[in-house]
Amino acid sequence: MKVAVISGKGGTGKTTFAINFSKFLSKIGKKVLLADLDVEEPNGNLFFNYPLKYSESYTYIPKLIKENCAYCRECAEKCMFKALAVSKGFWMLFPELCHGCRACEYVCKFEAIAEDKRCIGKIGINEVNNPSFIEGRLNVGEVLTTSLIKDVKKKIKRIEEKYEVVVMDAPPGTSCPVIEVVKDVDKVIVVAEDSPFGFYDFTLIHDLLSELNKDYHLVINKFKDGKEIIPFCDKESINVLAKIPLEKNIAYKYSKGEFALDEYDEVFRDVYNKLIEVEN
Amino acid sequence: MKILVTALKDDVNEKMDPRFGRARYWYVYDTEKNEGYFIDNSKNMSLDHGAGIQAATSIVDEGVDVLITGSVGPKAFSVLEANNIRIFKGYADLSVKENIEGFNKDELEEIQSAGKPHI
Repeated sequence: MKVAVISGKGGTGKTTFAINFSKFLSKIGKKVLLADLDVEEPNGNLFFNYPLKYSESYTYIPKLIKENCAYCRECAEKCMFKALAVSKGFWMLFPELCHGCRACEYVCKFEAIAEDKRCIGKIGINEVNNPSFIEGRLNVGEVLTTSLIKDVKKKIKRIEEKYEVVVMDAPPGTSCPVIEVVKDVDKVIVVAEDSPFGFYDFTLIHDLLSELNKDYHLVINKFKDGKEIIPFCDKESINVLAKIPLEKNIAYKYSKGEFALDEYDEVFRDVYNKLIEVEN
Repeated sequence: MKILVTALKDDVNEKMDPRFGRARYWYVYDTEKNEGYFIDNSKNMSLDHGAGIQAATSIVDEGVDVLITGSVGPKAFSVLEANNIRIFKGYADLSVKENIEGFNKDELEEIQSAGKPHI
């Protein structure tokens, strides 16, 4: 079972939930892989402190075969991202603007463009422990977030058969990287924060998932009274899996890098049972 | 030699436009022929992104040797540099004509490195 943990807003407790849930599942004997797909700031392993084996992740960039080039500019004109500058006898790529779509290579009539690659980040993995762990780590200043997430997912595909549950910790927000994460998972868990901000951003992720036709389950974190979120869930018939209270002790433990929800086994057991229940 | 000055209006007596890629007009002055012409840059002006790169490429196409403007972003700078186009810092409070005169009298400072992007 592949589960994505997402949230519209940053700081709702996605990572807290994902690491503690993974830990719980391993405790009850499940073989778990936790994937940190928040590649712009992967911090899952801060809690596990596993040694990770890293490999580099690359994206496509075009390379000029000078002797074939007629400097016709077809490539530069068709580039949606204006990553190419071409003039008579002059061809220049701006790699940081290139999205690796290969349109330049496709439209070139002179076979003057070949494949090259550019490193955008790295993928770290530890398969020794349970939960096992994999993360993407985007290079600083790099914008191809979704490309790296895709690459980590490819790697997950190759090993996922070994695991009963794969928990994917997604980046915050409601844009392409999140869509890439939820695209082909079996279950989506939304972690929402019980605050006016949290509620508003939750409605954004709700709209996104409706648009994608994805069912989801809700975990309300930092629960106080649910005065906005509960009526919304009733109205939209949203399955609330759990409520995690707003407690100073949880924040304190989290800030120490500890598994802050280790006293919430019953909540996680319930979450897991409800997830499989819906599955069967 | 061809000199290009970025211009606010298509009139050499009007002020230089300190922006490069998004300047409204370009004035190209040919020192050998002792005559100049304006290029309408409004197409570049409205680009979402990549205005600097497009502008730099057009300048290379135009066969320009010297560019006089306010500042040039890093991407456009690398295109111009690779094509041996020299860049001089013009004065936005002077007219296009006065900037060319300033260049001829060696009064303008040559820009040796790229300015900040999106200015």
